[in-house]
Amino acid sequence: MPIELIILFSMLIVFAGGVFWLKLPSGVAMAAASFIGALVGGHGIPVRHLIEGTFGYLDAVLIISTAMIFMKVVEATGALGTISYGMIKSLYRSPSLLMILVAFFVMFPGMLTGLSSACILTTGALVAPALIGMGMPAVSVGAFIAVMAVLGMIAPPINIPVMIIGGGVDMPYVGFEKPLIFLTFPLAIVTALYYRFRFIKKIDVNEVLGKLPQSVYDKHGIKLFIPIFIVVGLMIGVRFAPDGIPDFGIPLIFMIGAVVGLKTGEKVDAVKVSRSAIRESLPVLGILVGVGMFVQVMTLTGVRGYLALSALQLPPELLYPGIALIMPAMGSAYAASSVIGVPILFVFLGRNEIVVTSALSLIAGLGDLMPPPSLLCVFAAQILGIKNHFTILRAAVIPIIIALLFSILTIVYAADIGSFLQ
Amino acid sequence: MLFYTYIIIAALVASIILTELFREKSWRNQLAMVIILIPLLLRIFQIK
Repeated sequence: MPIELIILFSMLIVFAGGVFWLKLPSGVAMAAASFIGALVGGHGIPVRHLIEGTFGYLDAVLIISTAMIFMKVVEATGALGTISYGMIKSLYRSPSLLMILVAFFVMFPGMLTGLSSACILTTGALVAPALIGMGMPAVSVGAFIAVMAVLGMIAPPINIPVMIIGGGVDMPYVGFEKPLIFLTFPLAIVTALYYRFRFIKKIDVNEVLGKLPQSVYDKHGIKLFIPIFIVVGLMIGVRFAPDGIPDFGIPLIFMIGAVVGLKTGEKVDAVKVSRSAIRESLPVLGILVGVGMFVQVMTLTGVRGYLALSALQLPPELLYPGIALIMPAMGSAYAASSVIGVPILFVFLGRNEIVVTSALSLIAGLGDLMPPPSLLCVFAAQILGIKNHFTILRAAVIPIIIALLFSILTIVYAADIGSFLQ
Repeated sequence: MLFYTYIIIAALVASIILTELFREKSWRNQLAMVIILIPLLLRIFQIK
């Protein structure tokens, strides 16, 4: 057995053992796996490399932290509650259109933060009671929110799995908007319509509105949405008018939005909201730091090169089923992106790499739904009071299969899709 | 100017994590917070 495989297996065993037996947070288990990988590879304890690895995703750490603070501020001002209230009040007569808009609404925090869990904990939690009131079983509501959370994480402008894969092949995070929109928005619409026609027949608007937080629009008016306008405006403005609008960087844009949000709606306790935002994002921040160390040690020991070469030698008939089955089975979007996504991208060099990376990020993103961690199903079960989170995964099987097929077809026809989207 | 603004943002995030670190009861979660603090503190103090 090649030494690279022995190193990789020892790292994976330590990671799995740390998570399942010692109940360590995933980030810590990854750090421990990196430590052992370096030892097995004969590099002793390479402090410089381990520390270097923690910096691998420092930009993503800052984006997630500030985006979560922004989302929590916007939620506390009453803006999110007001949007969901207004959406249902004005569109309850068109359930299909309403479900599509609810889907985009649930995706919204994930689009801005790059975090799937942010969708479930903020907008997902807001609309869940309303969806149950509209006639959907709680398990299906959980599945709908969990799938939308994955699509929100993958949709632009922020997509962390793409950043992880791109970081591994020195590809800048530029030009991904159109492929990511192409991959996520049609899937969101199909998924929304799937649940709408399966479960929603007639909406009792009073019952549904009674389960939502009340609108505070009459009290604060349009200024309630100023923080969202500022953040979206600056993000878009930098791309379309780079000479007129300076590029502050995404973390600073979120902080500007959060500070403005303190004065635009309901009273917000800035310290409490910031602490709650950072506390909720800690597991993901830990994973990012751990992934950075893991990738650094894989590079140091030659495991990454070995994986890339092995992926290049895979027979074509095994390649696509392999991608569709193995990437989600990693149980984490970030782990799948860093360990499998990077070498797999090398296999498709020469097609449109931006389209391929976008599709790989969606397949990796589905890993957040999968056991053993089933992170998103656990979160959705928690907010809906469902004891067995696997029932949520079961209810999401059809949209997951559609998403996998769509992603694989996108990889197969990446070159054509790339030309079409230009 | 922008550089120091980002140092301030990193310091804000690090200070919140430090507060959570001392309030946290589980050593496992404390360990996770420590590894997140490593790059933040090294960047804030401009060691790396």
